Amino acid sequence: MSIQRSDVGPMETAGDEIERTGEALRAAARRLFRRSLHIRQVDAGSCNACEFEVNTLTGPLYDVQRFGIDIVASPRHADMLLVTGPITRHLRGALLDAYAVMPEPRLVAAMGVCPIHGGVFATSYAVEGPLDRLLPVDVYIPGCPPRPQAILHGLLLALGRAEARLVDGVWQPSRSERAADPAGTGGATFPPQAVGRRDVS
Amino acid sequence: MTVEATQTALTRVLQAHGASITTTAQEITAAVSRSALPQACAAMAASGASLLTMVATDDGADVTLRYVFALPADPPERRAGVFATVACAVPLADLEFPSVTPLVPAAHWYEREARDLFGVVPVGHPDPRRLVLHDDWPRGYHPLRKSVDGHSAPPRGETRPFPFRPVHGHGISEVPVGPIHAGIIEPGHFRFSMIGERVIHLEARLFYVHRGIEKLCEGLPVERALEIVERICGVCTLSHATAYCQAVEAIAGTEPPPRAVALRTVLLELERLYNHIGDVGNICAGVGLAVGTMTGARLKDEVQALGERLTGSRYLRGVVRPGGLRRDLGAAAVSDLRASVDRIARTFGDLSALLQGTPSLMDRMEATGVLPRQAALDLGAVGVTARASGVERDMRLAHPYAAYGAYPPRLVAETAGDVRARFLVRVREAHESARLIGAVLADLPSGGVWASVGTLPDGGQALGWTESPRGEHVHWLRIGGGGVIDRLRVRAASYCNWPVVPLTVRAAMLPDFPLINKSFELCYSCLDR
Amino acid sequence: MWRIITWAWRTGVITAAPRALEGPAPAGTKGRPALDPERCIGDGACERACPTGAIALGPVAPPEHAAGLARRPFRLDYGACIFCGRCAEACGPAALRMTEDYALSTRRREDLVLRATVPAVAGGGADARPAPRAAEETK
Repeated sequence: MSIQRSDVGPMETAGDEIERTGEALRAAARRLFRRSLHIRQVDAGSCNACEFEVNTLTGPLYDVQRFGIDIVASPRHADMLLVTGPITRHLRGALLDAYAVMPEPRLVAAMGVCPIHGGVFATSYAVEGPLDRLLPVDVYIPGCPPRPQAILHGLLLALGRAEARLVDGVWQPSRSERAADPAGTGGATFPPQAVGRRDVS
Repeated sequence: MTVEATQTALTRVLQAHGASITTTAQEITAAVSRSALPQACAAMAASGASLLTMVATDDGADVTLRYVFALPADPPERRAGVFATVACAVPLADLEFPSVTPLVPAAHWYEREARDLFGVVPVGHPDPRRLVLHDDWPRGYHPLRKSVDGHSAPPRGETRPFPFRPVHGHGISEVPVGPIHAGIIEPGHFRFSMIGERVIHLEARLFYVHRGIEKLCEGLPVERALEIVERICGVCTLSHATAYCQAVEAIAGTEPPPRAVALRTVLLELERLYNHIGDVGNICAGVGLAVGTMTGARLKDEVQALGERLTGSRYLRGVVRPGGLRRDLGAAAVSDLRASVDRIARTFGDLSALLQGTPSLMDRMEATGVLPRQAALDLGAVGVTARASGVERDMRLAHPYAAYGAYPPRLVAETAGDVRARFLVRVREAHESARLIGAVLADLPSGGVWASVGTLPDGGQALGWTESPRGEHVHWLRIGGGGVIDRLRVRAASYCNWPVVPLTVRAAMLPDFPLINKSFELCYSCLDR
Repeated sequence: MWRIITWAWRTGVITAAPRALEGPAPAGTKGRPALDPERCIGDGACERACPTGAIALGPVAPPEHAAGLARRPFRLDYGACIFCGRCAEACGPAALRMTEDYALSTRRREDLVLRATVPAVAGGGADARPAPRAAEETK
C-alpha cells in the first residue's frame, strides 16, 4: 500500500513580483538575524522526540547559545517560529495565533518529517499539515527526529551561515571535501564515545 | 494468594453477576448484560483487581466495551499476567449503558473517550464533557466507528467554548495557561482558579496532540503499523514498540529467541535510564538549580549517544520488531554498553548525592505536590507516580514480561507522595536499571535474535504490556481478516496519571506548578495519541 | 553551595568545539538513504516497503533502442522520509543504502526531492511483499 501525495511546493503566491519581494524580505531577515536569532518553539502535535533534540541543543554539550541562537518564552520576543508535529487539528489555531503575534521580520522553520510532509500521520483525520500549506516556511529540517547537529545545520542554513547539502535531492560534497581538506576532527564521529572530561567520582 | 486461587475467586465473583465466562491463556472474559456491568466491575475492584484498561470496539451490530482488570499476583508466583475482562455489548440501536465510574472512579476517562470516539453514552457519568475530540468537531462524528473513513477530516463545526468549571467567589481569579507553553514542551491547556498566588483548583484540557493513531493502524499489516507505534511518543518509543510486539507474539503464540528477549530487556532498561536521569535534571530545572539540570542533560545525552551507537537511533527506534529484534549487538557493542552504563551510573550517583545534600532543593521538593495514597489507588495511578505514593505497582514484578521473570528488579517505593518522593524513586530506579543491565549482560544467551511470527489468525486478540519509565503501557490488539489490524487500543501510563495531577496542586503556589508537573513528567503525546 | 562549586570546577568544560559538531555521525546511524541507479532493477520493493510513501516509481518506459534497458522514473522525497531503513532492507541489489548523512536541511521544499531514472529489469512481482533481511549487527 503506498500513499500517493501530490507534489508539494511552498505556499502559492499571487505573482512573481510578490515572490521576489518576499524572497528579498526573507534575505533581509536572514542578514538581520545572522548573529542573534531568538526562537519560539511550537509543538503542533509532535511525539516529543524533536522537542528533546532541541532541548539537547541548549544543553552543555552543544550549547547553541554561543552561536547567538536562543530559545524565548513568547512568540512576541521571537525572530523564528520552530514548528514540530504534523499540525494537529486541535493545535492549528494556537499555532496560527503564535505566528500572527510575531513581530516582522520573522522566519519559520519546519523541523522533522511531520510538519514537512506529515510522515506516518499524513493521512489521518486529526491532522491538518503540512506546515507550508498554512505558513511560509524558510527552512525545512528533515529527520525523525533530526539529530541535534542536523537541527543546528538547519538553523545556521536559515541564517545564511551554512550551506545546503541537498540540491534537487542530490547530495553535495561539503566545502572541506571539495578542498580535499579533512574536517579537522581527525575523522572522529560526533558525539564522541568518552570525552576526556574529568568526571567527579 | 496464588494466581490459580485468584483466578478461581474472580471466576466465582463474575459468575455471581450472571456472566458467561470464557477463558484463554491470558484472559478470563465475562460477558455481562448492560444492567449488571457496574456491579460486576465494582466486585472486581473490591476483590483487589485494578482496572488496567478499557477497550471499546465496533463489532458490527454493537459496540463492545471491555473493562480489563489485572489480578494481583504475590511474589514468588511470578508468572505472565492473567487478566479478567468484564465485557458488555452496547447495541448500536440504543447506545446507552450505565456508567461504571461512580463505583470505579478509575474508569472515568475511558468512558468519556469511548463516547467521543464511538458514540456510546455512559449514563450517570459525573463528567459529561468532551475529552478526546475538542468542541468544533461535528456532533455525531465518531472516528473509530468502522463506517467512518479515518483518512478524511470532517469540516469544522461551530466552535463552542469548553465548559471549564472554575471556582467562583470574591477575589478569585481564573488563570489560563497554554496550550503553547513557555518552554520547549508539549501542548496542553491548564485553567487555574487562584486566590492571590494560591491555587484553589486546576483543570487540564489535553488531547492537543491527538493524531488519530489508533484509527491509522486499522487495516495495516502488523509490521507496517510498527513505525506508527514507535512514534506514539519519542521517549517511550521502545516501551510502546515492545508492548505492541509482545501482543503480536501472544496472538501468534510464538516467543522471540532468548537472546532477543535478553537484549530487549537491556534496551528497555536503557530507555528507563535515560528518562529517569533526564527527569531528575528536569526537576532541578523546575527550581532553577542549573548544575542539576545541566549535569542531568549531559548524562542523558550520553545514554542517548550510546543508544545511537548500538541501534542507529537516539530514541531506540527501528530495533524491536514482532518476533524479536531487527539487529543484534556484537561483542564490542556489548562491552561499550557495559562500560558506558557503569561510567554514567557512577556519575549519576555522585550527582544524586550532591543534589540530596543541597538543602534548598530538598526543601522545595518536600511536602510539595502531595498525592495521597488513597487518591492514587482510586484513580488507578501507575508507575513512578503510584510508587512514590506508596502504591506498589510495577508490571515487571506483577506480570513479568521479557526477561524480568529471571531478572526481577527490586521494587522502589516511597510513601510521602511529594516531589521529593518522586525524585527519590527515579534516582533509585536509575541505579536499579544500571544493575539490571549489568546482570542481564553478564549472562547474555547466544543465538539468533529473530524468529518469524508466521500468519496471524483472524480474530486473534491479545494484550501486550511494558513498564515504561512513567508506568505501564498496555496495548490491546485484535487481528482482522487477512492478518491486518482490526483494532489497536493503546493505554499509556500517562492516561492513568494525568487525572491525578490537579489533585496535587491544591493550596500550592502557582510557581510550584512547573515543579510539580516536572516531578510527574507525564507524556502528552502518549495520552493524546 | 561549596560542593556545587567544587563539582562544577572539577567537571570542567565539556562543551564540544564547533568544528567537532560538524563531525560525521557514528557508523550505523540511520541518515540519508542514497540511491545507486546503476544497481537498481526498478522492481519497486522500496516503494512498497516505505511506510510514508516517500518513494514512488513511475511507469516503465520502453528502451530507446533494441539493446537498451527499459527505464522508469524514480522519486524519493527526503521530506517524507522517516529514516527507518525499510527501503534499504527491502532492496535486493542494495541499490538503496542508508548513509550517515544528517545535514539534510534545505530552504526550498523542492530541494528535498530526488528524481532519477532507473533501469526496469526486474520481472515485476508487483504484488510480492519484500522479505525482510536477517538482522544486522552492531559490531
